[in-house]
Amino acid sequence: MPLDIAKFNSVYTDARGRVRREGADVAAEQARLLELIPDDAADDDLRWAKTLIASLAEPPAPPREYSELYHEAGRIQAAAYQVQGTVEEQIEALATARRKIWEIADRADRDEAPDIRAMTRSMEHVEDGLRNPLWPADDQPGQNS
Amino acid sequence: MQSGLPLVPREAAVYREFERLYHLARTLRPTATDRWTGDLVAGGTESWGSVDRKSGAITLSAQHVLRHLRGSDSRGGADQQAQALATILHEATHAGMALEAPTAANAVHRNLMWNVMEGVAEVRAMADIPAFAVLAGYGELPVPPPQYPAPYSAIDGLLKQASGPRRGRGSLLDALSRGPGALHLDELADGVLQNRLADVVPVGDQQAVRAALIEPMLHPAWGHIGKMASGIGESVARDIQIKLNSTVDEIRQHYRAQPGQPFPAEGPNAEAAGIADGNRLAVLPAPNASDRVDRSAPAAGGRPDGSSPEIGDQVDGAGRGGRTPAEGRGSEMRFLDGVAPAAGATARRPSLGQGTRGAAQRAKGRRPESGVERE
Repeated sequence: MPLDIAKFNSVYTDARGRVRREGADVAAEQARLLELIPDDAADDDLRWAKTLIASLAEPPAPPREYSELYHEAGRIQAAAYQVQGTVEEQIEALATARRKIWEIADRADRDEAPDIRAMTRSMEHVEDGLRNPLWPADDQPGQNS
Repeated sequence: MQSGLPLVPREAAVYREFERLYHLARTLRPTATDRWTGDLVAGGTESWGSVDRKSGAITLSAQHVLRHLRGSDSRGGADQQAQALATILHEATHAGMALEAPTAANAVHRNLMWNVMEGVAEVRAMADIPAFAVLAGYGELPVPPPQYPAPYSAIDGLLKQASGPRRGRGSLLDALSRGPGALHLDELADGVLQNRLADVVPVGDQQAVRAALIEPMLHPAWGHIGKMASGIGESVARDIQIKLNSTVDEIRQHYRAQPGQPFPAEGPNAEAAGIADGNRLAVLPAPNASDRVDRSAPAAGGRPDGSSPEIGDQVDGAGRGGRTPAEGRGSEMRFLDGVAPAAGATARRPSLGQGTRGAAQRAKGRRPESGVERE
């Protein structure tokens, strides 16, 4: 019987949450996950499951320390988000800020640049939401607020 | 689809690799809905990804996402790959669910739900990155900082409140990933109900009780927290927790005092009032065959209509000066044209570059596929 990938992933999500958030017993959580692996699991599935099971015992990575360039990009993003005005003005502010953040990322270290560029991932969707609100008839604020 | 951006040919190796990853993302959290029509658009340099609500196309940045889909990368670039896979998980989550639930009494069809949906997609992406990366043969990648900071923090906080022994975080994330988006708060309300009120609420009253639990979740800040920092999202979750606890107490007291009386509450979707609770699942949109990609026989010969711009249709491509499309775009994007090796969408190993599961050994002595970027 093949490993049920989705079920394993769901139980792994619970186990990781209990370990990280509640300090649950790692060995007990690992044992619970091991029970989900059928004896005749495919090699790939077995390796995948065991990698995740082993990861429960690893401490979470410490918060990353970023350079001033990263924080500068964050400030530009926050300032753009605070711009009030017409939808067009908000879109323009976001587009301008995105360009500045891309430029900052180009000057950043190789390890840090992707995380700086990624700040624009949500800005892109906010712009989309401003252009095309999900429910245009809704007078409640959404992305277009 | 965004005009002017090129479709990635379906025979391209990077298309097959994205299709494989998309399928694996859906394997981790299965869903019957698939809004991706199979068109993959190579986005510009100042973009990441999106799902076109009208066309069903997925756009992914050629430079920041597609070019990093090459399996475990011994030359560094783990941070780029982590961001690329996070983008795919986020967009696959959007594409895997309907947005609306017109006939569901507890559906919330308001623009504030956009931020709820973004929060859910990002929480799912961050939750699944480690399992996804290893499953797909990309190795153990660093988990990147979540984007959509306030919606992420708010949904993360709500998941914590809604999780418990009867419905855990995993089960709730499974259901949230199935959608529809308009029922996200209903699903979280069900977590609260199952974990904290199941002993007092009769099955027949559950829809109304969930409606009552949704009310405190409709925090006014949802409308604009898409633009805010994570601390605001945490505050929203805390505010909701106070009101939610009060509503839970109220419901419990109601059933203690009047066990035979339904808890009085109306669903937020007035147009669907009167839907019986038992129909809740039945009203979810059925899979639409015309909207789904045939996973058993991935298309290999390009688009059926031939009407949208292909990479070679760009004015700077083969149309001028007789250059190949790849040359016309410069070497940076040549990988977009690379022909895929024979590999199905369900394969567990990367079809490009080196996977951690033996792809390197398989690739030894083999000539790189024509046009595939191997830098």
